[in-house]
Amino acid sequence: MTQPVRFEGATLTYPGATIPAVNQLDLAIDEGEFLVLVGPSGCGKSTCLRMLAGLEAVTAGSIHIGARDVTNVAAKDRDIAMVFQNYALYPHMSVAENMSFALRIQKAPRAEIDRRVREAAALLDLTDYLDRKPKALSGGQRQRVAMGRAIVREPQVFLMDEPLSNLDAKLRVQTRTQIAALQKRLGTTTVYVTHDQVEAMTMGHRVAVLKDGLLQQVDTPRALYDTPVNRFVATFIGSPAMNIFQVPIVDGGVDLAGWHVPVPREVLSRASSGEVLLGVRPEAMRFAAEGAPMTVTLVEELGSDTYVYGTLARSDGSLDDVVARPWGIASPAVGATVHVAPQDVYLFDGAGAQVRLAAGG
Amino acid sequence: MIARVGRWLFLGGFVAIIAAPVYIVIVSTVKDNAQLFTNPIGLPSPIVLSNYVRMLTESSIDTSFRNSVVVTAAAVVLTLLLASLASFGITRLTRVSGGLLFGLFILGLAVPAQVNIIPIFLQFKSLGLTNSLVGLIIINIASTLPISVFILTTFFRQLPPDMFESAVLDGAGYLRQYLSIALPLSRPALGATSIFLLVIVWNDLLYPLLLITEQSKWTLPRTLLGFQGEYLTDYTMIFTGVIIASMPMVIMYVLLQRFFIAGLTAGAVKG
Repeated sequence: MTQPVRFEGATLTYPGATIPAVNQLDLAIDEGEFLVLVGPSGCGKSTCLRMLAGLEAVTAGSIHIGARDVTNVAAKDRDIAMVFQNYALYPHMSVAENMSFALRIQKAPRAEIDRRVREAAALLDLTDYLDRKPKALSGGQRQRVAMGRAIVREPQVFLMDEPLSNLDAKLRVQTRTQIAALQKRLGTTTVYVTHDQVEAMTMGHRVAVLKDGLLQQVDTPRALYDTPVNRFVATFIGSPAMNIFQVPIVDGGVDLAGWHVPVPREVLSRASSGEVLLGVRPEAMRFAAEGAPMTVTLVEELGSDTYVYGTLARSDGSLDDVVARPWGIASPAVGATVHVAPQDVYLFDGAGAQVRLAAGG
Repeated sequence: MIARVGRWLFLGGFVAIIAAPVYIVIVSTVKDNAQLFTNPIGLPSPIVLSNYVRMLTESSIDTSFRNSVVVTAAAVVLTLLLASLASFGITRLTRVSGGLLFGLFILGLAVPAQVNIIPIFLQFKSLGLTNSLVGLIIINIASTLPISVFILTTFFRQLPPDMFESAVLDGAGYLRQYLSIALPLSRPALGATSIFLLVIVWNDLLYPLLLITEQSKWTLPRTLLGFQGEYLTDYTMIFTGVIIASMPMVIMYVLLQRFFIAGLTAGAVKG
């Protein structure tokens, strides 16, 4: 399989900055793949996209699109189309003119332009709005025009920079599925940037997690969830976030608020100190007759889900926050003490290396 | 109540200060000199149109009017073209280089025109641009470019940069971005700037005085000055000339008022 987009050691340091915005990025994206770049604000995900688009100059490394090294190729010659966060529509042009702008610049035949605009408009349910100006459209329609503008280009790669962030929550969910379906139908390689891990998990074939300009992990959504490589990925992916407890190593396991959690010895032997970080997903925090005593502080009933928030007391008296998603049991009352026994646990090195020691348990 | 009366009195006084000279100028154009001196404020009786007849038949105001139109139209159009190109360039350059270029233009605002009259005269004389409408056009462009660049750059900076990045990805070069995006979107700012320029260039007296000696090349303000002699001033003719000279400005204001208001409030609210 060819790989239409490759970052090879791509680095960008802004003038005057000491820390690179994107550091030594190595990432290959497959033909027709929907790759999502996700991370917290300022992690460099939009910068990656802008580097690929040619809107930011790479300071080291290279970027390849198809067989071409485009590191020094001008943005307009890279054969990519981008959907911007605020859509960046041309306010003085009609929907049809917005969509056909690139083709008119290419001096494509008029019949060809008309055909492509009409096809894209039909695909995006915009046929009735072709003569309207962007200001006469709703947020969702503007977003679709921005998509349409990218589609008519028939580019090698689509780039999308948080295209759903200006939509309301309901429309966002609806548009999310539409974009994913559209991408599948068109089969165009797509790089999508978002800070929303739910968007990343639901849309991406693969998800690349970035933090402080460094690629942490790139894998399928399921694999990211099940086998995060470090504490950051573990807590960033999943909502509510994974519980993390600093726990002492005891014989044959770790001690969670007085409850013995068994861990294989060879795993524990890799720890660099007497303490490790124990990670437990909320749904793995099972309520049981015996376990660590948890004092319930808040219960959130969402209908399909229930989240129970509480605290676990350490041996020194300090409290750890904990969130659990109990299955098939009545919600405990606020103030009650319940017992939780972690089922699947993750261990991370507590010495700051944030290296996953083991998963499962 | 007292505050309200006070406000009306204050505003009324203000209106009177503005309106009184305009009234005197207008009624004086239909009085003869005798009426003007014996009854400068009252209404004319009888109404005489001889000032207008004299102005249009005996004076060279038609030539001056034509010269003014040529100089103003050419100077305003070319200034808008050059200033919009410069402003677009400034906003597309990096913050440092764009800022430096902007600063250079703005320096032009800091230097009073009168300071430069001797160098300008010498330079224009050596270039053979004295007594020439082309020379007048060039100096008007040079003197109004800084304020135009200032207004237009401020406007261009408010246009979202994403839109231009999107155009770059669509394959648009700088010229296409300027023609297809920046210019159509800056119509309100161009309209407002053109009003400023029209007033400045149309009313300009300094440069015609400095560069033009031939009467056939005089612009309107210079011709009006001709009615003011060392020993005798023909007030009715001056007033008539003022009315004729200000007509195009009044018409322009009415036509471009929409842009003027839009230009004043452009960028006031995020929209």
